[in-house]
This record gives sequence, C-alpha cells and structure tokens, in this order.
Amino acid sequence: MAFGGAHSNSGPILVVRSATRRFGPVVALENASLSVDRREFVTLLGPSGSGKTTLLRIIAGLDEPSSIVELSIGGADMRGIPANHRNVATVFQHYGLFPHMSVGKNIEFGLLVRGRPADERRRRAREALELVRLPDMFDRRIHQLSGGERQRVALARALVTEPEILLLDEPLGALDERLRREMQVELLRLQQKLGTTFILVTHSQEEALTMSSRVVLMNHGRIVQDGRPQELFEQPRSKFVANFMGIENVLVGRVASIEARTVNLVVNDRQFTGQLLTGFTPAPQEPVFIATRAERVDIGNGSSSSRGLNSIAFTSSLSVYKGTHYDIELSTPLGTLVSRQPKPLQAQEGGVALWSSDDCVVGPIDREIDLKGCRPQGRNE
Amino acid sequence: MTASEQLRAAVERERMILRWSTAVAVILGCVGIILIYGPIVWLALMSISEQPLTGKPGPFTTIWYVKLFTDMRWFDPLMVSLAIASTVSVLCMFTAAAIGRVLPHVGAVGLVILSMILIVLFMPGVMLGVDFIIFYRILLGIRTGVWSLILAHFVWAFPFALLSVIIVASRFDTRLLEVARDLGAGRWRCFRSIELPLLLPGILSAGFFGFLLSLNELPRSIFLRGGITTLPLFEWAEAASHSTMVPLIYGLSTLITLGSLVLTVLALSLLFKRETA
Amino acid sequence: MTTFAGLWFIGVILPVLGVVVVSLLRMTAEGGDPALTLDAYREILLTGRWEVTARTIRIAATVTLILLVISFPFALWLAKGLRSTTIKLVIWTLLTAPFFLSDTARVIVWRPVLGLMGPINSGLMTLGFIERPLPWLLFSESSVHFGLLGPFLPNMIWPIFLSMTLIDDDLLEASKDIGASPLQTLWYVIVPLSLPGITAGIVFTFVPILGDDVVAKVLGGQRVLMLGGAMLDLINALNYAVAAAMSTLILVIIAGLQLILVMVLRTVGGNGSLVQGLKR
Repeated sequence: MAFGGAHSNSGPILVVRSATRRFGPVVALENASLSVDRREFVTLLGPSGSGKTTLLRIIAGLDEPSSIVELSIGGADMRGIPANHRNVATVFQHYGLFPHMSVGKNIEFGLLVRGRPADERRRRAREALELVRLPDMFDRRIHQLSGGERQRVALARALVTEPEILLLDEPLGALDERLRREMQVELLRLQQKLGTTFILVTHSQEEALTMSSRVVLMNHGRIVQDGRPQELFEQPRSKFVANFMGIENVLVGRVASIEARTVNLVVNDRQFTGQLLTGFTPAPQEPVFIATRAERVDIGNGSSSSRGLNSIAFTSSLSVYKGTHYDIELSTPLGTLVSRQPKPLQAQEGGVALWSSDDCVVGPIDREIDLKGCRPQGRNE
Repeated sequence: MTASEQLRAAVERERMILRWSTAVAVILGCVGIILIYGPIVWLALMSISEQPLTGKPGPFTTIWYVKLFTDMRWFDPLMVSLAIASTVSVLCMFTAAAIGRVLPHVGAVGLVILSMILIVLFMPGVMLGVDFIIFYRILLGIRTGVWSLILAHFVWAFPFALLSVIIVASRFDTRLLEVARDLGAGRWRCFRSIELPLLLPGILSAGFFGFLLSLNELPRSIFLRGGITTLPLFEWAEAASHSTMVPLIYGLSTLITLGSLVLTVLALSLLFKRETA
Repeated sequence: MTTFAGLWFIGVILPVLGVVVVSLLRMTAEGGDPALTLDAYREILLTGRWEVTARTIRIAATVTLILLVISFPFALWLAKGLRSTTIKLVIWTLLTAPFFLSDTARVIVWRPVLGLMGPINSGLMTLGFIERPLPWLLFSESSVHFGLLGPFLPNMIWPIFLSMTLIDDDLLEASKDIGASPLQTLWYVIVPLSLPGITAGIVFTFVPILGDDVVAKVLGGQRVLMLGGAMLDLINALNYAVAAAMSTLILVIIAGLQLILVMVLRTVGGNGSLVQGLKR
C-alpha cells in the first residue's frame, strides 16, 4: 500500500492554496488557502455552511475540490490522490466505528489494511487504548459502549496509524457538557504528548479558544481571519468576526476623522473614538464597526467624564448572574450594551457606560482586511 | 521510480480495478435482466407470430388472440383462478391488517409468531403440498377441493402480505394515536381516521400480492386441487401434453403476465412511496 | 391474534411435523399400521429416489451458486455504485416484479427455441459454427440449469440488495479514510455486513428450486427427473409413507442448510447491526 507524505522534515506539513468547491450553483468553499506547520493545533471555526467541513474533507481526500492550486501534505503533492493513500486520518462526528468488529479489531483495522502482522497490530492497538484511557475494552462490542467511549475508540483507531495530520470533524458535538470539557482537555493533552498535527472543525468559539493555538475563522466558504485566539478576540478583522467571537458590544457608525491610528467616528450623532485595526485605512465617511469587550466597559454616574473616554448614558439595567461575575445589560439609545461587573446594579438606576478608546477596535463592515495585515483586499494586489 | 510516482501508479491501478469491476457488475446485471425478461418478451413475440411452435418469430398476426374467443376452454379455469385469487386477496388483507398492526409492538412473543409464519417461505411448494395432502386428506380424511386450494394459496401468500403491512406499520408513530385519544376520539374512530389511512398502502399491497401469488400459483395447487382446475394448472396440463392449445396459451399468458406486471409495479410503488408530509 | 397463531400452528406447522411422524409408520393403501419403521427411508435408498434427491440438490446448488455470482456484484453496484435514486428504483422494481409471475408460460417458450429445429440451432448452423443441431440444448441437465436461472434470480438479488442498501455510507467512508482500498473495504466491511442478506438470498433461492417441477418437466423431459416430479408420482401411486419420508428428508436438508448458515453468521461476528439486518 503506497502512502504519500513524510518526505521532508522541515517546512509546513500542510499547504492548501486556493481551494474551491462548488456543488452546482452553491459555492461551499471559495479560494481558501491554509498553511499548517508541524505540531500545530489548528481549529477551523465557523457557523454551519461556512465551508469548514468541506475544507477538512478536501484535506482528508474524501472530497475532490472543483479547483485547487496546491495541496501538499508533508511536502508531497496530494492532488488527485484519494483518502486511502494519504497519511491523514479523520475522527468523524458519527465515529464511523464498524459494528461487526470488536473495539480491538476496529482499532487494528488501519494496521490490518497496511499489512502489519497480527501481533504487532494487537500490541499497537492495546497501546492506543491505553493512550485514550480505555485499557480494558479490547474485546468489547461497539454497541456496548457509551458515546464518550465510542469517541475515544474512534480517536484510538485514527491515531494508531500514526498519521501526519489528525483531522477531527466536530468530534465533541454529541457529548454532554461535562464530557465535552473533559474531552477538550484530553485532546489537548494527547496532541501535546504525541506531537501530531491536529486540525479540528467546530462551530463553538469557546471550544476553539480552549484547545487550539491557532484559529481559522470561516464564513460563507471563505477564510475570514486566521491567527492566534487572542488576535481574533482582541483584533477582529470584520464585524462578523467580532460578533462570532462573542464580543458583546459592537456598534456601527461612520468615520469622521483619523489621527494616526486613532479614528473618530459617529454613531447616530454620537461621537466615539477607537483604535484602527492593523492594516485598515478607511475612506472618509466609510461605514465601520466599533467593538468593545464587556470587561472593558465601566459604569459611572452622570458626573464623571474625562477625555479619551467613550461614554453613553443608560436609563435602566438588567443584571444577569454568571457565577463568577455579573453581566449587566444596559439600555442605551444605541441599543443594549453589556458591562461585566463583580456586583449587580439596581435596575432602575441610570448611569453612564464608559470605556477607553484604547480598549476598542474599529474595523470595516463591507470588506475584509487582508490576512497578512498589509493591505485591504481589492487594492493593488 | 520515485516514491511519488509509485504512489500515483498505485492510485491509477486502483482506479482501473474499480472501473473494470463496475463494468463486470453492470454486464452481469444486464445478463440477469435478459434472463428474466427475455422469455417474457419472447413470449409476447410468439403470441403474435404465426408459427410459434417453431420457435421463430414468424409473420406477425393477431390470430391467436382472436382464437382465444373461439376456443374458450381457458375461460372456466380463468374464472376459477380469479375467484380464488380474490378470496385469498381479501383474506390476506384482513388478516395481515389485523396482525400486522399489532405485531411490531408485542415484543418477543411477536417475534416467535412472526418466525412461525415466515418459516413457510423456507419450505418448497411441493413439500408443503405433500404435507398438506397427507395431513388433511389421509390423516383427517377431508376431501380436497376449493377450500384446500384457498388454504394452500393463503399460506403461501400470507407471509408476503404480512411483511407488506409490517413494513408500513413499523414506520407508524403510535404517538399519533395517543394524541387522538387525548383529543377525545374513540377507539374505532382512532383506527378509521388515523391508522387506516396510514396503513392503507401496506394493506393494499398485501391484497395485490395475495391476488398475484394466488393467481400464478402452481406447485402447491398440483397436490391440493381436488378436481378443480386453476388457470396455471390448465396451462401446465396443456403445455406438458404438447397440445394444440399451446399457441393460445402464449396469448393468454402474455395477457396475464402484462396484467400481473402492472399490478406488481403498483403494489411495490405503494409500499415504498416515501411520505413527504 | 392468539387465535390466529393457534390456527396457524394447527393448520400449517402441525402438518409438517405430522408428516415426519407419518414417514416413520408403515403404511399401506388402506390406512396406517402404527408400528415405527424406517421402511420408507429404506425404500428411498433402494429405488432410484435417492438419486433423484441427490440430483435435485446438485442442480439446485449449482444454479444457486451461479445466481449468487450474477447477483452479488450487480446488487453491490445497484446499492452503492449508483447515485441516481430513480434509476435505482426502476432497476430494482424490474428485478423484483417477475417474482410474482407464473413460471409455466415463461419456461414453455424455451422449448421450441432450444429445440433441434429451433432458431438457435438453425442460426448456429447457418453461421457455420456447427454441422448438426446440438441435442443437448433441450431435455438435458444444461437446459434445466439454464431454465432455472431466470425465474429465481429475483429471489437471490432481493435480499442481497436490501442488506447492502442498509449499510451506512459513513462506514464505507471511514474505512476509506483509515486507508483501506476499495477491495479491502469490500472484504472487511461490506461482505460481513451484508452476510445476513447473502444467506437469506441463498436460502430463498435454493429451497424453492428444490421444490420446482415446472422447469424440470418442461426442459428436462424424461431424462432429468427432479424431486417435484418424483413426489407427484408417489402421491399418485398412493405411496404416502415414502412421500412423507421424502418430505421429511427435504426438511432435514433445509434445516441442515440453515444450521450451516447460522454458524457462518456467528463466526463473522454477532452484534446489534447484524441482528437488525436479520430483523428486516
């Protein structure tokens, strides 16, 4: 059985350039490009229909792109090579465990089709079971396992073949809350122990933040932002990113004036000031968004006001208990803003929401900033 | 060859194997379809040929169909078959409906009963024929007649009828009945307005299958005819004796075959129509 | 429902069991002599009846095998290779519908065709492939084999196709992803999971062929005697004990076949999925 991959020991382990996938009139993936280094834990994040699973399947070899410029794994060109010849394994959302085989035989399967002898298969399968903490399950039947156990068997089955890249398609989706948290930590531990490159697909930004060192956010078939979780959270490159990453306070306004990297904008006749995102140079009067996280919003009474602070009055509030803090929803003329406070507020009390212009970012609405942070798209490429 | 070239060669080899296997599969399928439909088409062809007994499709003529109306010896057997088939069909529909709707919900006992019913599918027609005639005629001393034919046909057709209803009944959501009961409907009402319409495709198919299987049944009928002649028995006797009726049989059979095919397609489409509600 | 079950048992199951008992009795034309004996079975072995049984089993097995070879790849292609569901349904209906048709007429057509003066022989002679008409085209074992193929093909392909359709496509994808070639997926995943259907197809084909007498008589004539014809002769000769014995013999053979198949199923692995497949 010929397998591709593992040719060079330096350089990225995965390079995808300009992958497009059409299903009739629907464009599931458009010009997606991705480069992953060894030992990275990358998450493909996005809402349903964003193309993340399509991209994963193209990497796995289960789907052929409509057009692609480059697809190499471990330095070897994988275009046109089907999944069974790629040194890449997938953990499916449905697990895909063979019902007519025991747990052990399921895990051995990858080695069986590679022609490994029986004793080696058994040894490595048992090791894999130890790895996923299911040491006594070798002879169990699949239907006897719980959801969490099945998922770990699927993981073991994929890992035992020592793939160059492990792909995970929403593996934690079917698990309950507590199990999901446990498995998130497990996966992280495994990845660091084995050093295998992991690419995970999920729609939960919380999951992405927990596990990966790098998040690739996708929407409508295109890659919208690609970077460290902190970057997406603090420097969202578009309104979609800001909303998806859960930034609570996002307002839309128009550019009034720019000084260096600070911009003054107008939202419904009110003035706000914020930091321009790197690589973003808006045109005059361009519609932009301004985003601030709830932690950065303070509450003051009407009297205090100082330069450099954005402020807006609110008339009433709703304090929501979140266990470690309170999320205070403030009713302002511009809509509901959220402030995170250690103590709740009196509902009928009015006040002022305040935040520093250093603590909010301003970005484009109708277009996206180039991923490398150099130039906005559509300008002298 | 470099590793990459080796890889591509292996992939290409795999593709070729897949392509050839698919071709073989499709060819075998065509062979199968020809094996099944060849005779039927040929039969139709022969029924409109002048010299069917030579095996060659001669000049085309409808003379044999015309002769069907002059030599009417086939009429009585046909009527007998239709009568028996209708009876069996009705019996199948009612029994299958009564049992089929209950069976999926009765658990282990249901499984036992189901296997008892399905076991007759694994008994060759002649065996059942012999068994029945020994049991009823010899041991119990009851003379065979129409009733024995109906019994034999029913036993043969019932498993299929039951399966039809079960297929449809297993898709049936019993919660619908709970909702109806909740809204105040009585038991008969529940059955008539909710269950019956949903089970109807299965019940109708059961009826069709019962009718068809009885109409075309031969091996069991041979033993249990009791002096009665059904249409298949008639055709069988005439064919075996190389009589002059044979060309007429061609025409008759073609008609029955076409009718049966239409009914079968109808029944199958009823069974497997996906409700899009 | 219990009344029905009771009736079914008395009316259907009992005769079959009762016949086993009958076969062990000494019977004469008038009635039964309640002394247990294996006379009936001895008579089967002594007269040519065992030969008939053996021949029938042999022919049935051969035809079943041929039909399996034809059906398996095509069922696989139909279930997993074909994308369009409408074509799939059409072909499948085509294959299933003839099950409900009468055997007689379809078989009769072959007689003149395969005959010495028939179109096949004439055609081959005209084309120069043979000098004299082939006698074995009709009234031979070959013709009986051939005639059995068409009528029983639906029996074989129906259960196989059904069980293959039930195989989750996700499993096939997982198999491919982990590195299995199409052939390996076929052998390790598809065949085991469709085994219930394959065995059902084998039984559903083999057993009815055992009971066939139409094809044997029409295409085999006097030279190829099969079980069905033999049984009819016995009944007509009022030789009930021997008929009962032959019936019991068939029952034993079928039961034996079932046992073998169940054991095959067991070794491949029993679990939820297989049981589900059997239930449907």
